[in-house]
Amino acid sequence: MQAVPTGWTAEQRDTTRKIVASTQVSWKKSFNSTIAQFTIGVSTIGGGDTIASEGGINSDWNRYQYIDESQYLTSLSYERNLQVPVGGVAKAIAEVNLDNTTGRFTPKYMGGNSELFTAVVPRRPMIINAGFNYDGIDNQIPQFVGVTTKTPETSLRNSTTKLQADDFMGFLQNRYVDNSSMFTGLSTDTVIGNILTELGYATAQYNLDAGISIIPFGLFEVGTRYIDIINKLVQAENGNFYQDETGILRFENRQHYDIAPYNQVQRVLATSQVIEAKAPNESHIINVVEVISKPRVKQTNQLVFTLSGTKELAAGTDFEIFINFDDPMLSIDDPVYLANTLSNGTGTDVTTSISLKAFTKFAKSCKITFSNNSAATAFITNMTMYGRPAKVTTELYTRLKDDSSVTAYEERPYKIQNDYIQSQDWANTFAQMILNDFSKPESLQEITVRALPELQMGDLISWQGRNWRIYGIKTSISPSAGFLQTIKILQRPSSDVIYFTIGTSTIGGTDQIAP
Amino acid sequence: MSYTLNATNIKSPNTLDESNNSQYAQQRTLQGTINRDYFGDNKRVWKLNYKNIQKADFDTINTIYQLYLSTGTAVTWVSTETNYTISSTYVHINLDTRGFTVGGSDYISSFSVILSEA
Repeated sequence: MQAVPTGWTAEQRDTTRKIVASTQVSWKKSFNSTIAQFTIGVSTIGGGDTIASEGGINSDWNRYQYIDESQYLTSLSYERNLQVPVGGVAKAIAEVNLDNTTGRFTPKYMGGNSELFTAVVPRRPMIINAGFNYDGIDNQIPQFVGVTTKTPETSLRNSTTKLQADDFMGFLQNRYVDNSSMFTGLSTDTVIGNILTELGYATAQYNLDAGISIIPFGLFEVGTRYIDIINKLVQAENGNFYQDETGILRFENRQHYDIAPYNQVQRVLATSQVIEAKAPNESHIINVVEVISKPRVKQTNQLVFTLSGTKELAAGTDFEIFINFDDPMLSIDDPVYLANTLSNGTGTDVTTSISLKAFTKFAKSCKITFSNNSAATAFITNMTMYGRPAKVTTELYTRLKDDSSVTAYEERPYKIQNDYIQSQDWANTFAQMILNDFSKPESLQEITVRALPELQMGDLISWQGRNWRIYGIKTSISPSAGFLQTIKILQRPSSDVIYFTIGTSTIGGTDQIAP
Repeated sequence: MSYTLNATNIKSPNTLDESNNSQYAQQRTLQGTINRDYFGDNKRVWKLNYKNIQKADFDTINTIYQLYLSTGTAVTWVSTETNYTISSTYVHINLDTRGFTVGGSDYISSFSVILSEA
């Protein structure tokens, strides 16, 4: 839950609330690295330092020069949902409707002549804040940071303009691996950190929990989207990767919500705050879970290639051989070969006349260039190569089901296929956790409430005497409906469990060992 | 003591209505409580009703209205009447229907002007 100013909670529960919201857009995407956030005791009132959306955050998106379009705001909505049941990457989206009576957002090709029209193009940074006005002051907290996804949609008849935006996950979705690379023995957070660094993110722009999984081997193949790699890694340990309301990218491992403050109820919802409560239909029910994984593990140096037949090298020429391996290769030694004047190897040994001119290694292949330095045709009659492959040494498979749920709803299967899942124990636990959460219809609800904009993903709330965890929030602000949120909540058996924490829990106490 | 629209004195209306225009959404919760979310400040609306007005007085108001339409800019509205003062407030103008009560050369008319706070 985000921190809120004094008086916020009382105003939020008041029967009459005064809603405030703001939208700022960097139409010209002007980046100014010298922009500094206002610091009490350092910055001067009336000076050039800007107010950050949250104190202490000094991310790059804060350094764009924004134009405040709040006075044209007519309605807006934004949505953020974690990926259930397995976790992974989650992207937030937003839509903002602006009054365009003045033609401010009308592009030139539609007859516009405002100073903005040359800048009304997609991929513009955008910020949404919202909150309440009380004691004569607009109190707002961050709600969304992202970039517009397309050119604003303008309707001349209605004098409106619509902006649509993604958070920065949208940026990751469009970045591909240019050069294949491999890694061994890294935790999920280290791999994600390396990817974000590679893509130009500063450490202030992300916050990564320690990964629970240590990946023995991973391969980024050319053309793969970075977001797909991160999604697989995060999903393998049932974590979440998303961007929060303040623009910070977060990797949260599966134990993230089991420790304070996430194991404490953040808000108690009274029925005087709730407008609608819906039990979703049984479509979310999962009562059979299959987990399949073929993890790769690096091997000791071993024979990885043996030449079959012979290769003929004409006198004084170069000869190229391409070799494909069955598995990704962490290292490949130089080839060991024998050359002879005859193809059956019964002639004179001319190995010393054949030199290894070039040896180019790829993830799953290599290219060898030999030079025949003699004046006669030579034959490579024998060649072997040693290297360290990453092999699939074991196939993990588990299939669990909840018999009582199957009896009631028939089989509702769910399959997880992820080669970053490393152990049979975790595969079993993962499957069991999904069954615990999703095999019964009463574990999920969707409620519409008078907005509590400080709520965040994973917050624990109390509703009708039970504790629920938030995994999705859709917020809308409009003069016709008000300031409302539709919140997706999950009642986990583990919501009230306190897990063992070294240095805090006591041996023999009631704290449980986390999955 | 006068009514001033866009810094021009206009004839005092025969009757004048003032109303409030607040933008809010009302929700009813499961408990039955009715709540309201308000958006923006309350805005006032004035309706100036004129009956049997000389052409010259209408023209004064109509000129301001036409200027408002052509520029698209809200104009100032001020009342300095003894017991009804309005400090300078930007308003939008509506001048929709003009009914002629006397024809001939006078063309005396009746109409209403609606001023909405910007």
